[in-house]
Parts: sequence; C-alpha cells; structure tokens
Amino acid sequence: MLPGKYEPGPVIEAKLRIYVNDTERPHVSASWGIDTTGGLPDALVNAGTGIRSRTGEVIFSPQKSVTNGHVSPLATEGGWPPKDGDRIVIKCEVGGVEFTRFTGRIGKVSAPFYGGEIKADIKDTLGDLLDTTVTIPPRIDTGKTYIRSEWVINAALEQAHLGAILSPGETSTIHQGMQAGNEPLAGTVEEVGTEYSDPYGLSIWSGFLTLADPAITHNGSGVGGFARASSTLDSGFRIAFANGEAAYLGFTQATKMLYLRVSGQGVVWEAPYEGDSPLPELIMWINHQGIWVWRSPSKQIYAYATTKFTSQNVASTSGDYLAGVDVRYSPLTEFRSVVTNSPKYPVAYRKSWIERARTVATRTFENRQARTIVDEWGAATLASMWMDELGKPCAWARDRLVSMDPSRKIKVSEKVFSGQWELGRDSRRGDVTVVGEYATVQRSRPGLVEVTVYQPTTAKTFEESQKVEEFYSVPAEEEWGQVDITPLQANRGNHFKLNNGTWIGGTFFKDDADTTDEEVSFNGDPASLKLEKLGLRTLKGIIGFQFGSVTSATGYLQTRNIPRYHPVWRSQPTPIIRAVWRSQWAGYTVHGKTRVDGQGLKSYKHECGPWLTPSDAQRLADAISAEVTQERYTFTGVSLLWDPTRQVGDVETWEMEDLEENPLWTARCLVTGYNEKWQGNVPEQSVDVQIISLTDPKAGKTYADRSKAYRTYQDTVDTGATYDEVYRALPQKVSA
Amino acid sequence: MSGWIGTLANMHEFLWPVSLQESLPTRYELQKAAGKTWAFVSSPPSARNREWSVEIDGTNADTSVLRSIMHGAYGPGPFYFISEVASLTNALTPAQSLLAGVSNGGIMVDSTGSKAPASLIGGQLAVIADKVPVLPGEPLTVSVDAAGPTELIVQPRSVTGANAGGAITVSAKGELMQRIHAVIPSVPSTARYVTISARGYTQLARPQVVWADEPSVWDVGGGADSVILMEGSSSFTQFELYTRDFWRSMSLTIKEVG
Repeated sequence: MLPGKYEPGPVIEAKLRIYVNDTERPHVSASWGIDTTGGLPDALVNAGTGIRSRTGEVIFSPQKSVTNGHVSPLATEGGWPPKDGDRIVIKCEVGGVEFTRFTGRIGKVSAPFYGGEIKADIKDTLGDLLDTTVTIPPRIDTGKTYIRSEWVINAALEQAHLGAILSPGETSTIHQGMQAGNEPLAGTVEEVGTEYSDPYGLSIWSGFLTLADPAITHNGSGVGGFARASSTLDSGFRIAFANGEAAYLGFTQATKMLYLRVSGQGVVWEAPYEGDSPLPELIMWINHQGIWVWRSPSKQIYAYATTKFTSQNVASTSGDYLAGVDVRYSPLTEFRSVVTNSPKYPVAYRKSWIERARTVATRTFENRQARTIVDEWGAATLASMWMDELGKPCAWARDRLVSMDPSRKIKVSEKVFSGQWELGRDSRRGDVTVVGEYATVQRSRPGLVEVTVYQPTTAKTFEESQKVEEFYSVPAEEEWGQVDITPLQANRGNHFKLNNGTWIGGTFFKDDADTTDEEVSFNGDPASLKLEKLGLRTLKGIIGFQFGSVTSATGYLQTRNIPRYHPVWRSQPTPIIRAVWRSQWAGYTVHGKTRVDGQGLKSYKHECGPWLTPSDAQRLADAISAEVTQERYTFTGVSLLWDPTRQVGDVETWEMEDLEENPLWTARCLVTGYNEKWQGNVPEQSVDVQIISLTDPKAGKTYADRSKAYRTYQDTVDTGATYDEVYRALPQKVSA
Repeated sequence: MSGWIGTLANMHEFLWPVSLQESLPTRYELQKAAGKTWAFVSSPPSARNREWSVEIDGTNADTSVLRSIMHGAYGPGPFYFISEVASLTNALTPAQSLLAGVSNGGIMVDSTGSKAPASLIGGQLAVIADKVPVLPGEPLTVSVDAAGPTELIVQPRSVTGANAGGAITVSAKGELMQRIHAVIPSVPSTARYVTISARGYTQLARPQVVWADEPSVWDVGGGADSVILMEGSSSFTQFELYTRDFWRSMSLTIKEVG
C-alpha cells in the first residue's frame, strides 16, 4: 500500500502530471498495467512466479494550445518529442496528497504525420536491467556464514544494478551483500555480527568483521568503499588498513548527517546527506593524500587531507546496521562512474516462511541473463518479482503475499462497478509431488585442500618427451570450490603425504617385456602440470613429460611405487586435482500431505531444482497440496473505484451485502495486478484479484455469538434442535 | 450587438451578431456502482472549455475580419475574444474574475451582502489580473469589492509591456467593505492591455473590468484569452447596389483552447 491519505467523497478531483526527464508534459490520456499472475495451476491462489513488468502508453497532447505545424521526429527543441530511453514519472495529486503512479522509461514513440499528438509506450526499467549477463560462483554452508535461496538472487540483482550495493568488481577485496545470508562474494567473515530486519525489506547487519581477500591487493589506484545504510537506524562502516589506520563513514538518522571519523583524529568532517534514497548510500574513496566522500551518488567532495593511508592494502571492514558493503581497489574516476549508477530504490525482499532449513550448497550460474535466474528461482520457490510505482524492485514469496494484513476494506456495492465470481472445479488436482536436487558436501579440514575432485582411472603413457593439453570439467552433478591450481610435483621434495593439494607425478618402467614391473631410477620428476581456470566450471591443464637421460623405458603419469610414499599413494594415476570442497547433487521427490483419491483428478508436479532443501520442499508440498485439492472461487472482470494507494501485493477485504444490507459474503482478496487508465484527469482502475478466502459473515464464529443466538431463539425453534442446528437456522449473525 | 476578437496588439470589432450562444461543458465524469455514484472532476476550474455559436448578419465589410482570421491572415492564434456582453458585464476571464490561482482567502461577504467564493487577504501588493485587453481611445472602468485601506492600481501597458501613461490609483474611502472603482475615460492610444493590482486591503474579491465609464453589477468574467475560430459557413443573401455591399448570413464556432 502506497503511503498517503486517500478518503474519497462523492466528488473526486484528481490531477495527473507526467514528467519526461523531469519536465512536465501535457497529456491526452495515459494507461498502464501489471499482472503478476501466471505459472501456477488455477486452483492455487495465483500470486504468480518469475518476473513481471509494468507497461503502458501515454498520448501526449500538443505542447501549445495552438500548434502551428506538425511534429517532426528530427526536432529536439527542449527535449521534445520524447525519445526511447527518456525517463518518465507519472504522479497524481488528489486531496492535496501526491501519489507516484508510474516510474520507468519511454519505449517506442510514434506520431502521425499530421497533428500534434505523440504516442509513447512506457515500461518500468526492471526488464531492461534484468537482461544483464551475470556470473555467480557456487557456495556451501560454511557453518559460520549461511545462505538462503535469495542469496543467489541478490548476487544476480547486484550485478544487474538492482541491489543494495555495487555490482561486485574484479578488484573487490570485500563484497558482502548481506541479503538472505552473510556469505561474502569476496573476503572472509571473521566475526559474524547480528542480523536485523529493516522495514524497507532488507536485512541489515551490525557488529560484523570481514577480512579482505588477500589475493586481491592494492594496485596503486586508491580504495573505494560503498555501503548501504539502514532506513531507520544510525549506520556506518569502517575500512581498516594493513598499517593499522582506519576510516569510518557514518550516517545519523535524526539529523540526516554524514560524518567521517579517522583513527586517532575523531570526527574530521560532517555534512548533510543530499541523496534521495530511503537507504542512504555511504561512499568514500581513500588514497595516500586523503579521503573523498559522496554526499549523494552524484556529488563527491574532498573531505579530509591526510597521509595516514600510505600503505593502502585493506585489512578488514566492519560496520553498524548495514545492508551490504563493498570495498575495492579502483581509480577515482572509475569509482565515481560506478557509484553514480547505484539505485535509489534497491530490491526489497519478503522472504518465504516456508524456507527454514539452511541451504547446504548453491549451484554455479555462469554468463546467464539475470532474468533467467530470477525466473528459475521464482518458479521453484513460488516467488515473483516486479517493480512498484516508485521504481522499487520487489521480490516477494507467495506465502508472504497471501498472509499480508488487509490494507483496506471495500464495500462492494459502493466501490465495485462490475465483475463476476466463478467456481472452478476442473482446476482441482488430486495430489502434489515436488521434485528437486539436493547436495551433499565434502569439505577439507581448516587450512587444507583435501577433497579430490579429479583423478584419472588409468595412468597416461608417454613414449617420448611430450606436452599434452587436457580439459578438466566440473561434472554436471557437481560443484568444486577453491580448486588448488598450483600443482606440486610428487617426486620433488620429501613428500610423504599426497592427501593435501593438487599433485602431478610421473615414473618410468623398462620396455623389456620380462621386467615390466621394474621402475627406472631417475632424479627429479619427469611430469609437470600447469593449470588455468577457464570460467567457473573448466580447468585447462598443460602436462609436460620429460625423458631426460632415461632411455629404453615408457613414461607413466602416476606416482612411484616406493617406500617414501604411504602405501595408499603409491602407483596412483595423476594428476590428482583437489579442492577445498565439493558438492554433489542428486534428485529427490516429496509428496504433499493432502491428497484426494478416487475422483480422477490429475496430479500436480512441481519442480524446485536446487533451490530448496528436501525439508523445505516438503513444507511447500504440504502447503500447496492443501490448496490445490480444494475447489476455488475466483473473481473476474472487476472494475472498481480508483484508489491511488492500491499496489500489487495489497490484501483487501471485500464485503458484499444483499439488497436489505445484510452481509452476503466477505472475501479476502490479494491484488495481483491492475490496469489504470486516465483520460485527461479522470482515472479508471480495473484490478486482478485472487481470493484467498471467501467466508459467510452470517456464520458467527465466536462462542459469544453462539450463546446469544441460542438464548434468543431457544423459545421459538423446534425444541428437538441441537445447539448447532439452532445456530445454523439463524437468518443472520446476531449482533450484540 | 458586436464583439471583438484578435490579439493584444489589435482587437478587431465584428458586426452584427444576431445570436451568441455560450455553452459550458459538464465538468464531471460519472462512475457508478450498484449503491453509489462517484463524480470525478474532469476539468479544473481554470480550464478553458467554453464554446460560442455565433450567427452574424452583416455586409462583407462587417465580416471580413472574421473571414481573414479563419484564413490564417492573423496567424494561428490563439486569440482574445470579448463579446459585447462581456465588455459591459466583465471583460476578465472567468478564472481572473474568480481569483483562481490568486486567492489566499475564503468566502467574502461584500457590501451588499452577496458572497464571493474566494478572496485575497493580507494587503500585500498583488497582481489581480494581467494582460486584460483594452480599446485605445475608449473608456475603461476597473472595480473590486474590498475592505481595509485599499489602493486599486490600474496600469495601462503597450503591447511590448511598457507603461503606456501613468497608473491610475484609487484609494478606498474609509476601511469598511465597499466597491472601489477606477475609471480611465479614454485609454491611451499606445495602450493595449492593463495590469490590475491592489494593496492595503484586509479582504478583497470580485474584480471587474468593463469597457465603459462606470461599473456595472458584478458578473463572472465573460472574456476569453485563448480561442480559435472553427466551422465557419456563409450564405450570401443580397447585394446592395447603392453601397456596393454584399449581405451575408454567417455562422461559426468560437472554441476556447489551452
């Protein structure tokens, strides 16, 4: 429900204003709509799954009361006519309150040869941004950090510039999105901190300490830090450097002030926040000359001169009540252009209550359009994503939608102009089966790389010195984590244990047919291996095998059979490639608790892929089987009184009366979409609603109602009636 | 009966309208539920949505101005239009006469007991109406109902906005509610419009401009500052051999735009 007071009287005066690139333009008409339903059987409350966009069109009137000429596509005077990509915001004012009705961009523009009207398609920006190609590495539950399914979605949305913090960069030494899990994409969590819920729809964390990724170090360009503050609490983040110095950028809610604290100096700078995000962006850039701070994503100033940060390798980040933090090595100009694009409204979540078990592991998503990942997740977990009137992306789970408190009460006879109810028995299903993938994880002991992810079954042979290239691909049912790509040579050094790290080793056996089990002695190791990563799921290996002075022998790519090795590691084919962890995925099936047999109803099969654990999938199966086996009422073709506060996701209570104004039915409805049409300044609205429950208000549900009913009618009804029969016979609920 | 149409630079008189019908469209769109009807305001009070159906009997000389305008000789418009009725009851636009966009006070009861729906309060110097067309050489009377030590200021201006002679300032006699009027017996030849201001009032409403040398009973403004001419048709009736005039019956629609 959009904030703002709207209490219409019999006469409603509204004013629609359309702004293109911040300039108001007169209009003839405007219309837009969004429908989030789809992707589920009709017998389910169809809140929809996947991505839904808001689209429409505006007909702009001529810019002057009398136009002397026709619209030319080549004219660009004063930014008119509009162009594909122009920013459009539609607002209306009613009762002295302004409501934003649409935020997006202009699409196709058309105008007739003759006349001054211009038609422009409009759409929100969600669809375009979700076309971004993203890559998300696999993760496992480390015990210290956790992950839910939305953690993957958040990683995708960050890269699509819809997240609370910047898209992770190649030089990000710390990147912690903090949504649906605190596992960082870069860096290591040292202290977990505490998770809180921000009313905006994000998680915020306080008291955490995350160490920088030691593999990503200072490149001489300065350090940029970006964090997203809470919408209600005082927030701040601290970047600590390897030389012990630190800087802290904070935000105070009461005064809307940004302030900068430097180790040993206290507060050295403060200024009002000038951005317009409900979750202020905290942005600073540090080099050996001082600290730059952003008062808004587009306004940066040199805040404090200091030479404290001559050693610019980042050690850690900590913070208070943050929705995410990213610290990267970046030149100032590059960092400035990156932060300019940070969204005013980052994605907001309402996470499923059905997901309760920690996700054991996640899969790799490599070079995928963000929309395909969000669609998969939405279909699997019954969640949908859309952008609201303000341009705020919403990712809501279906179970949260249907359990919202009602936003408003609708007296049908007064506010609903037309519509009908339907009862669909054909859409029922007899039972629910949910299939998915579940992972088991093998992991190494701390500090070791013990999980063998690849080892050939037989040793490769060499007749002469040779270089061979091979690819090692992650099998489809596996994910490898932190593969050791710096192989050691088994025969070099004094290695007794080959159970840690990646190894290559070679040996020679004499060619003589009678002595084939006799190894040839040699110095060093004839085999070498160079590994490089080709994306996230493939390794390229270059194997070198050198005969040196060895003659009349065949080379084998395996370890030697000598006492120096533990018996387990003797004559093992190589290379042995190891990783810190490996997840292995296998299918599972669960069935919903509720089923209807003997009525010839079809089954409903739901696929949830790798997104849900079996226990969560069981909860999902139970929940939807309870619904899908029942017949369901629906409302169609509903047009009703326009309400500027109505949003997708609102729950409304509809009350219908008969002609004597006695209650007929009460429906709890979920708004899953609406179409809004303006002719000049007169709006019309039609809505798509899904009935969550339909009840008979005559059936009083309280014990007091029953007692009173029985007392009232006990002398007039058949003395043989039971207590319930008396109650059911009442013409309507008895008022107190 | 006559009327004037044109731009601030040049208002042209046209003769002789035999009927002038003004229509005002409904300002509401209705939406109905079974038990309730809702009215949405489809145009704001200041919307220019009047329309006049004009019937004229005149000679070719009397109607040539209208025909020239309809042929685009005076540019695309929009034009000012002051009917004879408006010139004698109130030449301001409806919005100007009702202080739309200017008022900062509520209902005002004038000296006769009539109620004005909106008023100006406070006494600060305020422009009540600007670019009100005038006829050079003709009389002009501007009036307001006001209480307090009011000064009514009428400044004639040339088409470029320069002062065309000094401003006419009239002060209230006493501070009780009264009708104050300023008369210009003959509008300066270079003047093309007037700017009307006031100050000192405790409450003020009901401005009026008439092209006459005394005020008349206040009425909602009948002038229009943005019209176009549409749907003209002529039928030629007779040729006067003596004057060489051709008489015609002409009908057209004057439509408010903007």
